[in-house]
Amino acid sequence: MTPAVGTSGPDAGAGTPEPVDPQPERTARADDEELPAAGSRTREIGLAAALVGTGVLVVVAASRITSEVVARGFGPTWWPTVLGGLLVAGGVAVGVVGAVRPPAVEDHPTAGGLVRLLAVLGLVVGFGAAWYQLHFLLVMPPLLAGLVAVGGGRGLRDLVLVPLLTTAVLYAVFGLLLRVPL
Amino acid sequence: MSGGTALIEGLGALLDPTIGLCLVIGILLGTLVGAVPGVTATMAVALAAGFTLTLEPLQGLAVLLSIYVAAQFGDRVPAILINTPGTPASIATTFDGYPLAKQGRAGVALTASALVSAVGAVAGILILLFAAQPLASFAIGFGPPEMFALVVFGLTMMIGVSAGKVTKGLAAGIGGLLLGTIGRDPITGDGRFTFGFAELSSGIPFIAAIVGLFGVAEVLHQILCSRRGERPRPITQLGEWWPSREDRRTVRKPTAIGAGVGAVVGVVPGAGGDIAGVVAWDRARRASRHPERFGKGSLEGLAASDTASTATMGGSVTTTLAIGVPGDSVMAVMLGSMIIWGLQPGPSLFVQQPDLVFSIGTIMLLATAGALALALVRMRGVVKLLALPQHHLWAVILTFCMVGTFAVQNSVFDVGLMLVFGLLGLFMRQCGFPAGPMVLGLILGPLAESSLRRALLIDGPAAIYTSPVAVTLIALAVLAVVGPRLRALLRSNRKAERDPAQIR
Repeated sequence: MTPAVGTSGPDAGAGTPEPVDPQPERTARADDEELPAAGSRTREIGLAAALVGTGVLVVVAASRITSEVVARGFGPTWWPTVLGGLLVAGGVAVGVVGAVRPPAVEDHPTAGGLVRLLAVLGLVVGFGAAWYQLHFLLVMPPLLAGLVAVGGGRGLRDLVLVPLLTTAVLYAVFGLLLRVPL
Repeated sequence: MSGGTALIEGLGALLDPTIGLCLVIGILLGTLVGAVPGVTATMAVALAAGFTLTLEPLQGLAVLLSIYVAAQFGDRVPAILINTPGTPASIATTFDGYPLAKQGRAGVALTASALVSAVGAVAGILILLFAAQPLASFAIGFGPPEMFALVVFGLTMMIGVSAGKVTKGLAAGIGGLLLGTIGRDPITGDGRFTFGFAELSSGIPFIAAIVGLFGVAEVLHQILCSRRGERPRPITQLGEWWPSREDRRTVRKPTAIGAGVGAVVGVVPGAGGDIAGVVAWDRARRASRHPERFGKGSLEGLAASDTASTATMGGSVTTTLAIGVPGDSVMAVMLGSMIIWGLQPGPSLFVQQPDLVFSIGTIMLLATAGALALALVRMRGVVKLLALPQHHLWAVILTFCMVGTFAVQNSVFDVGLMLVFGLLGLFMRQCGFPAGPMVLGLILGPLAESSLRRALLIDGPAAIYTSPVAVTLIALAVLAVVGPRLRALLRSNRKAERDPAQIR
């Protein structure tokens, strides 16, 4: 939904101008290499299969819903069953469209990006586990410092001042003002 | 309640000084998020929803609506100075805004943009003030068949306008409707798909879902696809900042075109400022004496697109509150918050509380005035925001997402669910599925189900096909999905007939 930095993307058909290149400063790095993507057609068919599978699972799961109220065929299982069927149909449509006219991949993940993503997820899970044991004020600054470091931040300002300031704002807004038991 | 009484009561409700404070906070936040590429108004409203739930409805609406309005002013700054839309609503701003900035007219572009945006916003608010009540009065007679058709119409309109992603939009919408079945059955009260989690018995926690899909997913996407050292250079020479008399005369016609296009597009459910901006830019180009200047730094193009994108706001709010179908993705998020506050958007809201129309209209007018003043006064200060490091943004947004979601019900389960939705949103984004229809399906799913089942139980399928309103809405919904395909097919057939050599 958010346009990527430096790439306004008019997608309104004929008549709209080509976006002007804002000349981004780019420093080439090995971890900026794009990950090898699955063939677009293969990916679309895989997605379609996943949708069809999910639809079938929903229909099966809906059939196991038990109800004490009999509602002349339109009970609690009816709507999920209809939606499961629609999802199967939607999956088939996605597969057909993807096979006939596979869409271009808009944003390519990078190898470095994947490593950063996994590191961020690890930090968040670690934060969740530590928050059970320790006070919010003790666990939030290390999480923030970690997130900033993963994003490329270095130095005292990035790794100490920003985390402490952000923690203070979070605690003041949620802990003190809104009285959330952090 | 008469119109005069409603007006007095609506304005009187805003005399609470805390509403003024909420407005100021919202305007500052909105301008900030608009000016920072990567933070959309939808994401900001979703995040703010987490900590406005403890406020009174009008106070909360003041924060959320002023973020919505002010973001439409702030997002012009990066669009003009670095060719990067701050939010999708300013995509068309880049067409002429950045070329103008490259010609040394960034100051004029920024000022003209702020002024015409204010004109557009006021035009949209007039739509709200004059159309909301009649629309609600018309829709108050809707029974279950019409309400079901209305939900289908709203959902397909949002899907229909997602260019090139209709099938995936449909699948996402169905997925959202399925998520809406989790929890208690709306008619019999039986539990469905709760997987033993008591937290799911009243349905998917809405804030966790929207923060995950719009906030966390966006940040994770940026982390996954970012390249280190990629930073656009902002234009720092703003030049003259006040448009000349000739400039002001030039923008009158495109501003009027933009206001008209925005007002119409805004009322259509699902269509937002991004679409209105592009459509108005194209209309203004066709109507201009100098169409060749469009896309190369035309003040007319800038005026048309910026007026249109802000003019959609009033129409979007009208559709959302008067008939209960969100006008755009920001409104989808706001609709969920209103339900939690106990305000059920839909025909009965404005019929029972007509003063609310005036309260909301006034909040939006004040937010427009505040955002315009801030845009004109702090223009140079906002430019500095463009230098904000991305890693600071990621860390701050992620932690606000987590703490904000926890704060709604003090529930760690909600935070976990938000992360799951974040990963789902990332997967959807990578695979080209729009998140908007899913959120809309999640919000409107229970209403769609209960309306359809009630209609079928009362009179069978005849309940739907004997209702002219329901049939019209469903026909429009089908047209919204099939129409663009048919038009493209006809166009390519015509082209092939005209130039048979090309297809060989």
